[in-house]
Order: sequence, then C-alpha cells, then structure tokens
Amino acid sequence: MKYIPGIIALLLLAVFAACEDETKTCDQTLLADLGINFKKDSLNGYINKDTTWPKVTLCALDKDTIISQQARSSVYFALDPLKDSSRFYLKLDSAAVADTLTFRYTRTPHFVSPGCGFATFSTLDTVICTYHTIDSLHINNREVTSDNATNVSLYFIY
Amino acid sequence: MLRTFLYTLFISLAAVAAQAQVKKDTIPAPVKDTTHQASSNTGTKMKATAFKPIAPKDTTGLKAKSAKDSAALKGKPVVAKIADSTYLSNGGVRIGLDISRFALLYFQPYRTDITVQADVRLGQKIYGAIETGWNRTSHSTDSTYSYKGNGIYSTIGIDYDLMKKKETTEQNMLYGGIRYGIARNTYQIPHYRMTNNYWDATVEGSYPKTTVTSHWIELVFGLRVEAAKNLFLGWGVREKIMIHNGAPASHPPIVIPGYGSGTKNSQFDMTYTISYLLPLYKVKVHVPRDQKK
Repeated sequence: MKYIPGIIALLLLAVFAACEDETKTCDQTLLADLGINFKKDSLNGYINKDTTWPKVTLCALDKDTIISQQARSSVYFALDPLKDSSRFYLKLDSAAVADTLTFRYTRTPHFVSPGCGFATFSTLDTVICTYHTIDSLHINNREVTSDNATNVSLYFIY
Repeated sequence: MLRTFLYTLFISLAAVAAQAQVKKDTIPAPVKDTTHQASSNTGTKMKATAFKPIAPKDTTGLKAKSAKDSAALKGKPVVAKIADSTYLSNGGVRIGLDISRFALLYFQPYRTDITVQADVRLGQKIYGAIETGWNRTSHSTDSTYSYKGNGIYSTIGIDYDLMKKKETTEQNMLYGGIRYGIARNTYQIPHYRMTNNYWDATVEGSYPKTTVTSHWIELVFGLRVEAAKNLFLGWGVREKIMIHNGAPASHPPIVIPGYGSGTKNSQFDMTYTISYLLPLYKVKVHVPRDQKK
C-alpha cells in the first residue's frame, strides 16, 4: 500500500506525457538560415583557423541590411524563399573591398512540427563569389535546414 | 472527464492493493492430492484437482473447510514433501474498449480515436493479444496550415501474467508484453503558409492526399482487475518504438493511428480498458506447493 501514492504520481506524469497537445507549442525554430564562417588561410592551406572580421556588413542586393559593421566570425541569413537564387553583398572591414556572393539552390517546403508549421529548406546547387577580399570558398553542407549548420566556409589570406 | 478517469484509475489500484492483502489462508489446503496418482496411472485423467469437490466459487465454504482440515491435520506427523496441485481456471476471449481514447479527445481535440482490444488465454500465464482501431485527425490554424487525415491500425502480440494468484478463482493480472503494430493512414495538407519578414515574402501551397504504411514495436506493462464477474478494468503503459515510418520526411503525418505522433521515433502512451471475458474453455493451471508459501 505504501507504494500506491508513488505509482499514482508516476501514472499522472505518464498521462501528461502521453496527452501532450503538440499543436499548441512550437519547440523548434522555423529559421532555415544559411551559415557562413570565416577562416584564415596560413601556410598555403596547411593551417586554417577561425578568424573574426571587425566590421562585417551583410545585406541582400537591393534589400535592408542584415548585419551592419559588427565583429563576426560567422554569419547566418535566409535565402529568398520565392526564388531559386539569391545575391548578397558582404563587406568584411571598412578598409576591405566588398565581395558579392551568389547562391543557386532548390527549395523544399518542410513540415517542422505540428506546433510550428512549415519552413522552407533549401539544397545548395552552386555558390559563386567575387574574390576581392575572399581568397576561396568551400561548401561544407549543401542542405540548408533549421539545424544551424555552417554550410559554407570563406577563406582569407592576410 | 479527467477526474472520472483518475477516479477509476485509483479504484482499480485500490482493488489490487486490497487483493494483495488477502491472507494466505484463503487458499484452500489440499486434503487429498489426486493429481499425482491420476497422472501416474493414465495420461487422460489429468482433470483431477487438488481440492475437494466443493463449488469453486464458494470461497467461504472453502475457507471453512480449509480451517477444519488444517485443525484436523494438526496432530498428524509432518509430511516431508507436499505434492504440486493442479486446478482448472477460466480461459476464453476477453474483448475490451480503450476508454482512454475518449479522454484523449479532451487533451488533443484535433484527433478522434476508437480502439478495441481482445486477448485470449493461450496457457497458464501466456495471453495472445490483438488490438485494432481507427483514427481521424483534423487540425486547422488560420495563419500556418490545415491538416486532414484518417487511418486504421492493428497490433498483435503476447502478454505474460506476472501475478502470483492468491485464489484459484482469481483472474486479476499484472502483465508485461510485446506487440507488433502496423498502421495505414491517408492524410493531406489542403493549405499551408510561410512568411519571411526580411524578404517580405509569403509562400502558400498544399500537399496532395498521401497514403503511408508504418510499423512499430510496443513494450507493454499493465494491470487488469476483475471488478465484477468476468468484467475487467485495466490500465497499461506502453513505449512504442518506430521501425519504419513510410511518410516522407518533408511532410510527416501529425498522427499515425495507434502509434501517436508522426514526427517522433518513440512514443509513450497510456491505456485504460474496460473489457469482458467470454469464458469459453478451461485452462489447466499447475501450482507448485512451495510457491504458495
């Protein structure tokens, strides 16, 4: 008999766990942002270290600024959900010459969860950039989802 | 509804606790064990029981007889080894309805479920169990998406009775078991909408009707109490582990019938069942003497 209250408490917990209304709460992010990190290339590619640029400015062409003169080692931003390509302006320092990044991708509506609804996931096809400040780029992960992954690395020599 | 559910849950637990308090002297002491003799003579005479031919339901009579017999045996020398006993217990098909599915409608108003369970006694402690049910899911939000789905499912498996019986007529059971489940459901998303503030974009679309099949395994633990003659109340907890989800990863169903959330690889669930036993046959139950002590 002494175990009955404990059993009832466990069963009540079980009831609440089993009866959770998943449509009420959104426990995941709907942001499916593309991630880029910055790498400093030393010894001709033999040593690559994360690097922070002091005044990063980022925006899509003809759109509002996403990041304005902030110190960053990585940036995250959304691709255009209505088109299969997006172009971005990236200036890493006030003294540096700005570069342009072009992303070509395919879009997929993805059901994130009953509480959150849908988000647009993308699969990168091609990434093109100018090489004013950027030395090279590497695609790490083509799938742009809500997992906060770094999809592209930009390499610099300075 | 929740309160009623919890009350019935408590009542069943209390009933089991009360059963556990039943003294051992309610077990009728064997006066003459004919099993040994019968089995040694012919294999066909296994029907012989360990108890005197008193009406099996009359436990008061058995108790009185038992007390008298034990008093009469007091003066006799101690027997070195008491033989095992065998008796016949009710077997048959138990058909039930999972009433927790109706309570679930209060917590998850977007889903409607009906579940029917049945089990059949295969042996002394083994039960074959089958379950089938239907689900309808309908959810709509003005801003994000709407969803419609329905489907059927079945599970099949076995239960093992873990309870040591205090009386020969006792049919309560504390069981553990395993099930294999299969569901086939159809669903569609008539409308969804996504917005992106930076791009000032709204994306709208729909998913056509999709039919998928899913398979899973359930680990079951529960209790059944005979609340009235052949009428059982029982609760059970289940851990369901998905083996194969046939739905595409980009738009899984909200609910897989019988399993639960279509977006989870494992799922906890609870059932509360009211069921009735149709006693169709008898099952021979063998009880070693030392287990009753």
